[in-house]
This record gives sequence, C-alpha cells and structure tokens, in this order.
Amino acid sequence: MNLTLLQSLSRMAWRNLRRNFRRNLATGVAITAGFTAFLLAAGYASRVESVLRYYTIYGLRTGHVTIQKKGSLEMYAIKPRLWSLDENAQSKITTVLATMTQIEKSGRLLKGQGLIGNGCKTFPFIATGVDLDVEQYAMTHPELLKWTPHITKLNIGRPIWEAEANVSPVAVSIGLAKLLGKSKTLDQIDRTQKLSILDCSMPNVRDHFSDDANVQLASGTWDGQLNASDSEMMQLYSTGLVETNSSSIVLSMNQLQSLYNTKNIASYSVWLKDAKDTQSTINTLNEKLGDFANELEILPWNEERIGPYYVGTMRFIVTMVGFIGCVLALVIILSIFNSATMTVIERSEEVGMLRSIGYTRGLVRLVFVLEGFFLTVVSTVFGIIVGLTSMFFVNRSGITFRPPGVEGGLQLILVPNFWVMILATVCVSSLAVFATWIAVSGISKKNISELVAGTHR
Amino acid sequence: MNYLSSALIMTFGLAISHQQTLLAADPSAVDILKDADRARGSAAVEEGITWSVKVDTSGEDGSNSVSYLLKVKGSDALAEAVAPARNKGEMMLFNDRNIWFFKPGLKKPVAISPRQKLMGQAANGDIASTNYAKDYEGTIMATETVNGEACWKLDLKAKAKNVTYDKIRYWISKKDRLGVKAEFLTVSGDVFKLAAFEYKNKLNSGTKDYAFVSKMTITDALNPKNITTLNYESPKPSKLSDSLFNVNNLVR
Repeated sequence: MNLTLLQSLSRMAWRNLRRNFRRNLATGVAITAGFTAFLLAAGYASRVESVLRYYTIYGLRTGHVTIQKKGSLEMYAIKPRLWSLDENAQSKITTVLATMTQIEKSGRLLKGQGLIGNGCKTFPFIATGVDLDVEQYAMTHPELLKWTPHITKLNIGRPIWEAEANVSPVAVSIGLAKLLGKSKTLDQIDRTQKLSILDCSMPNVRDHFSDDANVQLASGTWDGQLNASDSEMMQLYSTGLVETNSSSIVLSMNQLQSLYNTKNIASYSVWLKDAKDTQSTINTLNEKLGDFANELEILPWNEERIGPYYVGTMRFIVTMVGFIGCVLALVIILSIFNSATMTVIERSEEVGMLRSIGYTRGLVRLVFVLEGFFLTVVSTVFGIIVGLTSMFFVNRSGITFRPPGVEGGLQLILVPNFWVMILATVCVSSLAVFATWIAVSGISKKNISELVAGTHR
Repeated sequence: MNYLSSALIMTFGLAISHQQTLLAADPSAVDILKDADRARGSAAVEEGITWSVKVDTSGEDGSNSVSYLLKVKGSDALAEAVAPARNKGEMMLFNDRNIWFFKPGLKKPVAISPRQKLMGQAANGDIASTNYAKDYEGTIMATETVNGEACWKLDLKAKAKNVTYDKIRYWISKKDRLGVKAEFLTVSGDVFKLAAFEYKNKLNSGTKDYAFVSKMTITDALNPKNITTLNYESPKPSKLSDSLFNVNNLVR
C-alpha cells in the first residue's frame, strides 16, 4: 500500500468521524474518562511507590543492599548474640565494601529491645543503633527529603549527629515521648538546672517529666545481665507508621552496643550511587566475599523480608491499578465495538458502494479501523490533558488523607508517570484497532449487491 | 434403686465430712504462706535482715555469676552487686512492688518491672525477699508428697499486675512450713519456670532460730539446660535505717 492511498484513507476516516459526531463524542468521552481515571490511579501508585521506596532505603536505613548473617532475619530477635555479625565478620565485610566503587555509603546497624524510663515508669522500646555519620547521610538524603516531607516535617529538636561530645543523644519517636510524658528536647530545657529525682507518688508528677530531657534505657545484655544507661532526648521524630511510632528510638551504635554489652552488629546497609546496580553489587559482593558469603544473606532492599511494608503495599496497589486497567480495557473494547458495529450497519450501503468502485475488503476494513484508531488517539490525548490538569489541581489543593497504618496522614500527591502514559496509550489504541477490526470483519465479507441493496440487515 | 440412692448419699456424706476434716485440720493458705515467706526473707526481724546471694546462671548462652548483698526491711529491699568488678555498684531498690535499678554513671535510677529478667532465669523479683502472702491470693488445692515429704499444694494468683508472676503453683511442706518447690505459670496457665528450694541456713531473730533459704534453683521449663542458681549465705538480723530504701539516696 502506498503512502498516498494511506493518506487518502486517513482523510476519509477523519471526515467520517464527524459524520456521527454525537455517537463518537460519547464514545470518546467514555475513553477519555476511563483513561483519566487510570492515569490518576497510576499517578497515586507512582507516588506511593516513590514514598515507600525512599522511606525503606533511607528512612529505615535499609540501603539498596543489606548484609546479614544467614538465618538472622528469622532468628536475630530471639537470639541476637548467635545471629549477629561479630568483629571478625565485620572486618571481612568492611574490607570488601571499601574496594567497591559503585557504593556511595555503607554503614552498620544494630537493633534491639528494652525499656525506656522517665524516672518513674518504663515503656518498651525498639532501638536502632547506627553510626552517626551514616545516620546523617541517610536522614538528609535528598530523595528522602523530597518524598517524605509528611514524616520529616514532624521532627522536633536537633538530629542526634549534631549532639555535643559530652551528650549521649537519643531520638525518641513522638508516640513514645507522649507515653513517657516528655515533650521537650534537650535544646528546649534549661540545661543549667540540676537533674532532680522525682517523687513518683506525687499526684502531679506527670507535670514534671518534661523538666529535663533525660531518659533511662534498661535492657538485658546479650550475655544475660540487666544493664542500663542514660540518654538525653535530642530529637522527637515520627517513624511515619502508627505501628512503630510509640516504641521506636534511634541512638548511636556505641551507646546501643554498650547497653547490650556487645561489639556485634545486626547488619550492614549499603547505599549505591546508582540503584540500577543493586543486583550486580550483590553478585560482586558474593564473589568477593568468597566462601564467607555462604554464611551471609546479601539481599536487595525490595526483598519481601527486608522491605515487607514496601512489598506488601505495592502488591496491593499494583493489583488495584491493574484491576482499574482491566476495567478500562473492557470499557474501551465495548465502547469501540458498539460504536463501530452501529456505524458499519448504518453505512452498509456506503460500504457496498466503495466495494463496487474497487475498494478491496481490506481497504474498507482499514477505513473503519482508522476511524476507531483516530477516535481513540484523540480521546487518550484528551485523557492525558484532563489527567495532568486534574493532577495539578489535586496536588495544589493539599488534600490530606490517612492511609491505613500511616502516622499523621499523607498529602494526596499524584505523580505523572511518562512511561505509564505512553504504554497505556499504545495499549488503548491497540485495543481500539482490535475491537474495530472484529466489528468490521463481518460486514466486509458480505456480497456487494446485498450491501448496496441493504438486504443483509 | 435403693442401693444406688444409699451409695450416693454415703459418698456425698463422706465427701462433706472429708472436706470438713480438711478445713479443720489445715491452717489457712495465708498463714502457710506467711511462714514460708519468713524463710525466704520476709519480715522475720523487724529492724531488718541482711544476707548475700550469689546468682549463677548456665545454659545455651554461656555462664555468668554475680554476687549481691541484700538488705531487707519490711517490704523494702536493697540489692547491691558486690562482684564481679564490672557489676560492682549496681543496685536494685525494692520499695514494696516498685523496683529501681541504678548503676554508677546513671543520672537517675530506672524504674523496672519485677518480671524483667535480672540474669539467666532469675527475674528481678526473685532476688529479694518474697511476700507471697501479701502479693498473691492463695488456695490450698491438695496434699501431695514431694521428695518423700507431705506438702500442701497451693495455687497462687497475683493480686496485682506489678508482681513477679501471674500464677504460681507452690508446694509447702506440712512439717516445716517451708516452700519446697514451685512452678511459675503464664497468664494462660503454661508452666515456664520451675524452682526448687533448700533451707540449710539459720536466721536468729533474737528469740528464735528460723530456717532460712540456702539455695533456689530455677530451671527453664522449655529448655532444662538453662539453669540459674541463687545461693544464699550469712542471713543475719541487722538494724537498717529507713533512708537506705529511699530512691533519692541511690544517686550519691
């Protein structure tokens, strides 16, 4: 088929679209609406994916790759001493990490439990111990700040890496600080005042918990003895999740190691310059660590056991968007099929005439398919315009909603995804072509005389 | 039918008369517990008592040993670690059911729970004197023989949440009124720790010698390899000042 003929058929198809304007408009609006809905859902999914991705990698200090003792993901919480990395293991891993140029930052993590007290009462905590330079890197990473302002904006006080040398700083989650009755950080209290031991039987004792920022941490050491240490509340922070916001604390690696009387750590987190190198970095680490790698588990951040919240949430959202996509596909197929079928029936005499002046069955089908294709392309373009405009206004409106488990609510921000738009447009256009082809294929096989006389109906 | 009725009446009558005999013969659970508590450091001497206890733990996670000096007066107690050197100066203050932990370097004492593990299988509440008569609602369930000795088997239920255990099964010898063994239970009634007691120490109250606990062996019910032994030594009356048990005085 030559280009001139195609141009001529395209012009004809374009003109034909205007002949049944109301019907085509209705079909086009249905496609536009469906496409817009899909883009908005995809925009929401894209936003949630980015939030959870960077929250997991930087906010939870997981890194792009984590290294831990094999089996520790299941056993560490029960027997941390046996399932942690000792100094020898740390030395081997650190040596290998230092040789890898694709790594932007790596750091040690220690996790554990205990009790945190206000002088009168104690509450359970889940602690993360981290080297302060690593904490600063992760918590100030531009991607974290860009995607999780709903979490970082709730922080009160100074970060723990800014603490003076004579202070043992601790960051306490906001919910836990509330349970402790301590609302002020170290910078908000008069540090010249001497610490007083409270009379816990006083009726108004709760009013005095915030007189200082001192908290006491108590826990069993890893060799089975009771231990305790003092810390100063430098920062109140939100974990972003209801589940952990009333129990989490973050403190320096040295402090937590001292509390548990250990030099071991739970895991290494490795942040890469380019996230695309995640799998190749895992392969390189396995290679470089040799036989020792058999004693370790080196996992990417989006492995279900490492980022269960990310994996679980995204699985749900992808299913939801996929379902919307399927509904959209069905709507498009039915709309186009219905529209094309009615058009073909109405214009059967015209089809007969075209056949009688020499148009082949294929050319006749092509005219109708082009009509469907143009209708769909115009509708999806409008869908993209309406979708982007809606996203703009939604993002500007500052609507806050509260997804399950998210502390403090999340601003509804929809993020356009260019590749999703392209892919969806291609899919929708293909479906339209397919639906029109099916609708037209029957009529194009009819006898010319039947078509011209209209006796086939 | 008549035989059946007679048998039922006789059985019922015997049961009532046996119950009456039990009630008449057995002292109350509170009295038994008070006597058993006295041999475990509770209120034998009003001015106060001191003793030392060495806590040895062994099991899967290795072994450990810490020695404490105990000072007890009424429902208050102070346990001070005296050895090894790294634990020296650690103190636990028991003000009735409130417990504070303090170690050199802390700015404030830490309020802790009696249920929290002190070391191995021993909870914080195990180290000080026991006052089961006050902390638990006791019921005599049966009479059983333990190590050839006739014992009352008591079921103890915690009166408050801030006591060391929710439920205890406690065997107290009829002859000496000393706790012979105990099973510590979870809220759901599962045994999670077992304890056995020996009484080779004597405490002279000034007027009378009392048997005093010399050894408490605590075994993990799920893993019998995990054993903690509390060896008690040198119980003696001592005039103790009330200020010793003031939490403000822990931070010196």
